[in-house]
Formats: sequence, C-alpha cells, structure tokens
Amino acid sequence: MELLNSPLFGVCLTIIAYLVGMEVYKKFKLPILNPILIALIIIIPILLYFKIPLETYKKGGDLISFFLAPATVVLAVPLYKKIDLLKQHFIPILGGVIVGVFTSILSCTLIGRVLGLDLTLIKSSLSKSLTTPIAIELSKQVGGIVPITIVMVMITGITGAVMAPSICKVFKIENKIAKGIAIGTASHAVGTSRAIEMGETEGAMSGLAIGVAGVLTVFILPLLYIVLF
Amino acid sequence: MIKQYAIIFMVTYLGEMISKSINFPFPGPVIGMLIFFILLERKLIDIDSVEKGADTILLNLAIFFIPPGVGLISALDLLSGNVLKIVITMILTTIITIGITGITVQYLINRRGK
Repeated sequence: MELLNSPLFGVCLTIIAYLVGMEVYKKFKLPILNPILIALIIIIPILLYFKIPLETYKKGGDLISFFLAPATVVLAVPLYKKIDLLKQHFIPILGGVIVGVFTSILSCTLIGRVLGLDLTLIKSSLSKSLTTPIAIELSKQVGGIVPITIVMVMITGITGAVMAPSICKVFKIENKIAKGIAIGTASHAVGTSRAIEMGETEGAMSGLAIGVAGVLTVFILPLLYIVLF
Repeated sequence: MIKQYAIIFMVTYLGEMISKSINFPFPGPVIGMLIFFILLERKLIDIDSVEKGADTILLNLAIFFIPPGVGLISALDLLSGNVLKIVITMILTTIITIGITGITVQYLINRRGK
C-alpha cells in the first residue's frame, strides 16, 4: 500500500491507460472506442476494485492535469494558423458559430429540463460542445461537475463523429463550408475527425470552428447563464 | 524546445494573474489563450518560436483530461439513474446544433452569393 502513495503511481497508471486507449482507437478507428473513454474504463474499475482512494491516485493525476492550463493556452496556435480561412468567410462563419453556440446551450437547458435532469447535470452540460480544456474551465465557472462535463463532451463528440453525414443529409446541408462549421461547432475535435474524412474543406472548417466556438462561448455563456439560471 | 515552453508557461501564468486580479469570473487559461492569440496575430511572438512546443502538447491533448475524468468516481451517485437521460440529451442536442448551425452557415453563404 505504501508504494501507492508515490505520485508515480497515478502518473504511470494514467500514461499506461492512455497508451492502451490510443492503441485500441488506432487499431479499430471506431469513434465509440474513444481513447479517453477507454482510459477511464481501465482506471476507474482498478481504483474501485483495489479500494484505492481517489486522493491516492490524484497525487500523480494532479501532476498530469496541471498541464491542462498550458494546453488550453496553446489552442491559440491552430486558431492562428487558420485565421486566413476565417477572414475569407468571416460573416457566414461568425454568424453560424454564434447561432450554434446559442443553440447548444439553449437545447441543453430545454431538453435537460424536459427530461427532468438534475440542475447540476444541466449546468455540467452547458459547455459540452466545446473542446475539452475550455469545456472544463467553463463548467467550473457555471457550477457544473467537471468529470461529468468530460463524459458529456465525449458523448457529444462521438455522436458528431458517428452521425454527422446523416444529420447533414436530413437537414439538407450540402455546402462543404456549412458542413464543416456545423460539425466543429457542435462536436469539437472528435466530430472533426469525421469531418476530415468527409473532405478537405469540411475538415479545415470544422477545425477552425472548434477554436471560434470556444472563444465565443467564453463570452456568451456567462451572460446567457445569468438569464437562464 | 525549452524556450518554447518558457514562452507558453509565461503566457499561461500571465493569464492566471490577470484572471485573479479582475472582478469577473473569467478562467485564467482562456485569458492566456486570448493573449497568446493576440501576440501571434500582432506578430509579437513568431509562430516558429512556439509551434513545436505547442504541437507536442496538442498531439497528446487527451492525456490531460484523464485525471479530471477519473474524478467521476466521486460523482457516480449523481450519475446513476441518469445515464440514459444524459445520453439522450447529448445526442439530441448534438443533432439539433449541427442542423441549425449548418443551415445558418449555408443560408449566409447563399445570400451573399446572390
């Protein structure tokens, strides 16, 4: 038991679970086999089965999650590299992403209330369309529960990756720019992996929309939150 | 490489300091991202001086979410009995958001084309 008290326990367990998750994902290429999901399915039962307290794992886990802050900061780099793309189609992209951000937040609130979801769960869902590091920060800000937000972000991404082409067909979205922006705004990088398979324009636009949606939500969510809750 | 991380961490620290000194709940890492973006856009930081460091972090971005995700252990009570509702809400809202966003962008592009 004493060996577990080293931060190295949490660090090693996290890295191994991540590597296994990545290998499984690369081998099958199925969105449902999300690497983070697999890592959690490995780590959580181990901790529960061996009755290892979360605090013991966190000694090492916190060292890794410390890097979430710089990881959020460097999201500026892919956004900067795609800035010309944004300038070319400024109005449709900006207009679409703003509408998308409002739609995501409002639909979560509305459908969550209709289905009788706990208020804490609804608050955890408000940032679920965004890239995980920004979703985590905003979830803390609106009183959500971070681990639940992470799971919601994953389900959202998987939904986008699996269903994006059919959704575009049903809504008669044929324009490649429109498809990409819609997928990136609603389902971040996981959805974008599917957009990249759909085509070059779709992939680039989806990647751009991740950053734009993240930045805009940072401003929109706190204001909308005051109105809604 | 170490210089690249020096820049990235200093911008992160700056974001955190600003976040703590303003009277508005604006997350430090997000302020850091906005500052970083402005510095790149204004060419105050050369993209070559940070790109490799940034790409290394971004390539393995997912690993940093695992420890906060494991915190699910302490939220299992809240989750139990709600799993189906959560999954349905996430799927429906994703469909609606993709649909409405796509229609909006398509409309704005077609309108401009005319």
